[in-house]
Amino acid sequence: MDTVMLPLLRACGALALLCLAGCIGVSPEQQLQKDLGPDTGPYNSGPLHRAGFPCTNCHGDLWWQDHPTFELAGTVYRTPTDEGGMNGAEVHITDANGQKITVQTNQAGNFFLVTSGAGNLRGGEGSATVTALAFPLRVSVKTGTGEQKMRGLIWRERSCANCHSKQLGAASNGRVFAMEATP
Amino acid sequence: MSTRRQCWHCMLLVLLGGCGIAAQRVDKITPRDQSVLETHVQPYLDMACASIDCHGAGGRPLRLYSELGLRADATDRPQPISNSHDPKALTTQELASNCSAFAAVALSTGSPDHHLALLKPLALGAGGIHHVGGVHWADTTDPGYLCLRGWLVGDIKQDVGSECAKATAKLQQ
Ligand code: HEC
Ligand code: HEC
Repeated sequence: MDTVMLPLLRACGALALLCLAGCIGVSPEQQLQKDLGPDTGPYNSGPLHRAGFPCTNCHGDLWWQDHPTFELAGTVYRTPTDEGGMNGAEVHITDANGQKITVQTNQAGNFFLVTSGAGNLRGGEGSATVTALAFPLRVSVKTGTGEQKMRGLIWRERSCANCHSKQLGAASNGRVFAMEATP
Repeated sequence: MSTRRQCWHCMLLVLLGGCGIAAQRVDKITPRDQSVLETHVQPYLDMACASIDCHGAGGRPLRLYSELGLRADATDRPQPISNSHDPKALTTQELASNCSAFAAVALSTGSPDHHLALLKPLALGAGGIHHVGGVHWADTTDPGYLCLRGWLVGDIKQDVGSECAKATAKLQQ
């Protein structure tokens, strides 16, 4: 009997282990992060990385627990079709309590807002410290030559890129841009 | 008071009442009228409800299309909306879909106020119910409430128009 049952038991055990690994291997939050794909930019992880990505999918309450979460974050491009982000664009935000925030994008075009409890971040370019935001938010982007206003309000989303994905479409206005495309 | 004077009052009331009814017949819209949705209610929905992170998100109850939010098709947004590019108007199908979305969250056909779209954004203290998207109306005198209610139950067109305009202006930059 042993000679028959032992391999069978082993096979069952291996199968059970595989199933378990499948179950505990990837949490929904990790899957969300995985789905974003690899960072395509030239920078190491930090304020300049993952330009154009929805930052708070990782730096948010859901998943990023041992680091400060971002109140709001995103990337600004010079025109809708530029590949790289725009350095030094001003992002203006007014929250529902009338808090007015201005933050300048960094070299990668990124910006992010943290609350004062957030502690020291490696390299703060692109960041501003704010009081916890009250939604809805009004936003606009300014450069030396003009201002682009978002007409609608942001009611809950903390990453610009979740509505401003690279591809213009039914649920995206394309990337956030500071200037109209030159015809 | 003499009987004659009372009679006068009655006649005046009847006359006035008659006028009221006649005016209402002319002015009242059919509940969820699609053209009233387009011209008056939709601009408010664009600002208050239909953003891509709220009712403009696929799969959410009361999923709504809007010029500034979700479109039925990518071709409905051929270029980014910006200072110099206005959105394309909603299509008849998108408007019809929004009408059905509202019809689907009515709680009772008998009492029009018993409607999820009227109860959810309303403060609990004013008779509302819990809404993940928060409280939008402190009470039933809020222009946003009156705009949506007027359209849902078929109120007087002019009133619906002016309440919707007030509610929208409050949210625009
Ligand atoms: C796919 C997940 C993911 C996305 C999306 C993402 N990050 Fe990060 N971020 C990380 C990881 C992982 C680190 C590295 C943490 C470490 O090294 O300890 C990091 C580090 C950082 C840091 C340094 C934090 C510290 O504690 O010093 C900043 C700042 C930062 N990211 C900004 C951004 C911005 C801005 C965006 C969006 C444009 C973004 N990140 C998008 C995962 C992500
Ligand atoms: C809930 C979805 C959503 C979020 C989140 C969002 N936007 Fe927008 N944004 C839109 C849509 C849709 C448009 C086009 C219609 C309009 O102007 O409202 C737009 C337009 C804009 C425009 C005008 C067009 C352009 O790119 O110049 C700017 C500027 C802008 N958004 C900036 C931002 C910034 C900065 C953030 C992040 C802080 C952000 N948006 C977050 C949906 C969103």
